[in-house]
Formats: sequence, structure tokens, C-alpha cells
Amino acid sequence: MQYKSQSVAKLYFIAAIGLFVAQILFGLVMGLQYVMGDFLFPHIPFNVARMVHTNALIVWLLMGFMGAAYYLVPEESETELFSPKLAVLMFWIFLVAAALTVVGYLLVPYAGLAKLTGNDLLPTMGREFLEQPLPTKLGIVVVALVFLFNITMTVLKGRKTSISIVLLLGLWGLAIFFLFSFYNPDNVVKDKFYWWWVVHLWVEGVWELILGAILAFVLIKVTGVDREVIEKWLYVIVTLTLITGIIGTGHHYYWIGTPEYWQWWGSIFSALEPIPFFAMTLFAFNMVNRRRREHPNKAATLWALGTGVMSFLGAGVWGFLHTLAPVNFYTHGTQITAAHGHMAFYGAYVMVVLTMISYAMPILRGRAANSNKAQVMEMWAFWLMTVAIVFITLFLTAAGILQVWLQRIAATPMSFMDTQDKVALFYWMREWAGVVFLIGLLVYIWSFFCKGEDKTAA
Amino acid sequence: MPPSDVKPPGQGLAVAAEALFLANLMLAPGLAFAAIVWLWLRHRDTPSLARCHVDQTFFVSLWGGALLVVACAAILLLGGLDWEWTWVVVIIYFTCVHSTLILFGVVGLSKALAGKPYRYPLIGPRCD
Repeated sequence: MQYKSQSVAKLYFIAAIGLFVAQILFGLVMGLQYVMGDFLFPHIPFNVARMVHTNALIVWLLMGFMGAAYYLVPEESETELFSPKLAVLMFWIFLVAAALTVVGYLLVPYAGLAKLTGNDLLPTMGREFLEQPLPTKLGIVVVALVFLFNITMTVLKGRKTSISIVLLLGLWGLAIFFLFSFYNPDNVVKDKFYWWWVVHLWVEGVWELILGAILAFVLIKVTGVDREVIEKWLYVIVTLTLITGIIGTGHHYYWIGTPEYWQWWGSIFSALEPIPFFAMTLFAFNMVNRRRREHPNKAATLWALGTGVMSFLGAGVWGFLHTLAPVNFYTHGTQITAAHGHMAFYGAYVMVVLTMISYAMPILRGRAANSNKAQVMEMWAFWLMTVAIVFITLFLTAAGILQVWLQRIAATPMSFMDTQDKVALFYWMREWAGVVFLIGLLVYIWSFFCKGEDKTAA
Repeated sequence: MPPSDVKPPGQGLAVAAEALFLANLMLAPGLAFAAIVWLWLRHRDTPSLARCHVDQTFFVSLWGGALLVVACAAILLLGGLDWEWTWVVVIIYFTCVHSTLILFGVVGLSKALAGKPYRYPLIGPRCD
């Protein structure tokens, strides 16, 4: 580790992995509720399991991004973090707030939680992914602002690189667009319109900048390719992301009551959205093929390549599959969307955070790379989780296609619930693939405790 | 080992062939393949790196065409358009095979950019 203050990243990474486990456990509970409707009812109803599953994902990815930034920025800026103490304080505030929110979800009925937390003062609850009570949302804003202050001051006092600037752009964008979660107009069309400014402009906008910056940083480290080459790729990826992603928001505006021209704008620009992911895949493979050094951390290189491939498949291919308005007319809100969501989140954001953890954690623990044994175990985890998510995606896609046919195309369309019964076989198969994913995650965690001869001291 | 900064002979042609392979899959199906055929016929005596990539893209495009067009047509004919399982199978089959070919193409292009030969797994001919 080049700078002592980078060590704060470790806290964030550990908490991120802890929340990742929670996310998967609740995902499995929910997966089972698809086929055994009263499983754990009334203790953990489906809507609560779903909230914890998605909210835990968002929070652990944010933790991962913050940890990545705290590790990456001092090294890029060639200076210690502006305030390591502030970073540690914010970590505990964020963790306690996240834990309290989950406890609230689990112990208090949602409507009661809204009353208890002052939702009537400024109604922000009840919207998918943004279910957090008002105090949690305010807490996120405070934590994000302090985090951004800390990171920005570090960049300002040190060397400015393209990677740190792109990362800052992404992180500031993340904070700014989150502010739209406080805007909850009575008009349902406007409500949905601006809701996507948080959800879409996060995952198909500013988060991609964070992804590009983290991937570029790790690739410089593990391949030794000239910074200039990697930075040129980063510029191209950022440009493609913003050109396609911003107006691509239109693919969410087809059926919410907005003008019809959004069907054209949304279709055209979101059809182009796979391009930045394609570029990222090519970028990762190109850099690894042109590498000037053999880094001892093979697992980190595997995660980096996997990020390119899986983000292209999940976000790019599976996004394109149902993004054109005439197709989306039939597929909207079916299991095809769920298939896309699972692989895109895993491929783009889970994998990039795990890439960073894989690269940084051994160094934070005083070695350039883990022992061969630990790396082999980590690579097993990589394959188990990746293959599992591929199968989860395929089973959900099959369920989705069948659902579209039975519910929306057939001469005598079935009701939603009757259709659910017909696709139950795929839900069972998805659940088993989920169990394999959990096993992969446990192997991943186990790899941190695996002994063996460590590679060169960092 | 650090790669040399000198471009190996035939690298430009190798990159062009791989780029056309990807264009055939994503942007201009048929048109880009016609360009690959033209490259394949015109550049018979080229440096081995270029020959390898041109051969790979030509033959794998042919295989890819068969895997995508012929197999999908067969699924549709055998299953019929009015059976839901036809659509389940054909959409998943097409998406998986098409994406796999694109990913192989990405690896091929990155190898060409690095001045290295590449043989497509399973369906690529041997490079001399």
C-alpha cells in the first residue's frame, strides 16, 4: 500500500461483502416465495424481502464504490487522503443507517414506518428502489456530501489524472441525481419521469463512469500498459456512455404517459447503449493482450475481464433484447426485465467492485497478491457465481418469453397469476441456480481466510 | 513479456478482418461478410498473421451464418410459429449463439490489435 490512508477502504470492502451476503439470502427467500407463496409469511412478506434484496444491493455497491474511491484516489493523486478520520466516521454512520433501515423494513409494517419516520413532512417513500425512509435518504445525502468533500479535496491537493477526474464526475453525478428522490410530484407521469432520473441516470449514466474509472485503474496496475493508452480508451467509453445513456432514458418513457416521440428517441438511443459496454470488453481484452508485466494477482485480472464480458452481455445484449418500443410493448415489466436486471447488475457493478476488492484487498493486507491456493479458490468463486448468474438469466428469460406469450400474445390470454403457475418450473430452476450463486459467494469469502504462501510483499 | 512497439506485418489487414467480422454480426450483416469474402479472395499471399485472421473470420462467418440462420429457421419450421416453446427456444438460442460469436470476435480483434494470431474455439480452422 503506497499511502497509509488507503487503509480506510478495507472497512468499506468488508461491509460491502457482508451486505452482499444479506442481499443474496433475501434474494433466495424471495425466489422461494415465487413458488411457495406463503414461505416465511407473515414474518417476511414478499414486498419486504424484495425491498431488502434491492436496497442491500444498492447500499453495498455504494459502499464498494466508496471503498474503491478511498483506495484509488490517494494513489492516483499521489497524496494521503484529505481526512481519513472523516472517512471512518462516515463509514460507521452509513453502516448504522443501513442496518437501522433494514431493521425498520423487517420489524415495522411499511405504512407504519412511513408514519414513524416523518414521510408526511416530505413524502418520498413507496417508490421502487427508493423505498428508504426520509431520515435514511437525508443520511445518504450527508454521507455522500462528506465523502465527496473528502475525495474532491484529496484530488485538488494532489495530481489530477483522467481516471480520478472521471471517477469524480461519476461520484458527483451519483450524488446530484439522488436528489431527485426527494422530488415526488402528485402527477404520476411526472413522478415516474423524474424517478428515472435517479434510477436510469445512475445505472446507465454516472455509474458507468465510475465503472470505467475503476476498471481503467485496475488495468493499469495489472497490465502495466501505458497510462496514455488506457486514458484514451476511457475518454471513448465516457463519451459513448453519455451520448447513448442520457437520451436512452427514453426507453423508460414509452408507456408512462409521456409524448409519443419518446418511443423514437428511446428506441434509437438505447439501441446504441450496448456500444460503451462493447468498447469496455474490447478495452479489457486489448489491455490484457498488450500487457507489459505479469502481475501475480491473476484473480484480479480474471475479474476485470469478466466485468467486460458480463456487463456487455447483461447490460448490452439483454438490454437490447427488449429495448425497442415495438418489442417492449409486449415485454414491458415481465421476467425478461428481471433477467436483464440480474445479469446487468452483476456484470457491470458487482463484478467491478469485486475486481477492485480482488486487486486492493491483498495489498491492504500487506502483500501484492494472495497465495496461489487462495487465488484458485477465488477463481472458483468467480466461475460459480458467474455461471450461476448466466443460468439465472437464462431461466428468467425463458420464463419471460413464456409469460409474454401466455399473458399478452395468445388468442385467449391468461391472467397474471395463472401465467405465474405455468412458468413455475423456471422459477424453481432459477432458485437452484441462486443456491449455486450463494455457494460461490461463500467460497469467495472463504478465499480471504485461505492460508498459503503469499506473493511478494506490497 | 513486454510487446514490441514495431507493428508485425499484416496487422492492419488482420484488424480489418476482425472488425468486419464484428460488423457482420452487429451493424451490416451480409454487407460486411461480402467485404470479408473480398479480403479472403484478394489477399491469398499475405503475411501469416493477416492470413490467420482473414481465414478465421471467413470460415467462422460461414459457420456463424449456418448456426444462426439455418438453425433458427429449422427451429421455427419444426416448432411452428404458433407454439410458445418455439419462441422460448429460438430467442434464447439466437441470443446465446449470437452473443458468443460477438465475444469471440472481441477476443479476435483484441488479439489482432496486439499483433497476435487467434483461432476461434471449436469452429475456427487451424492457423498455419
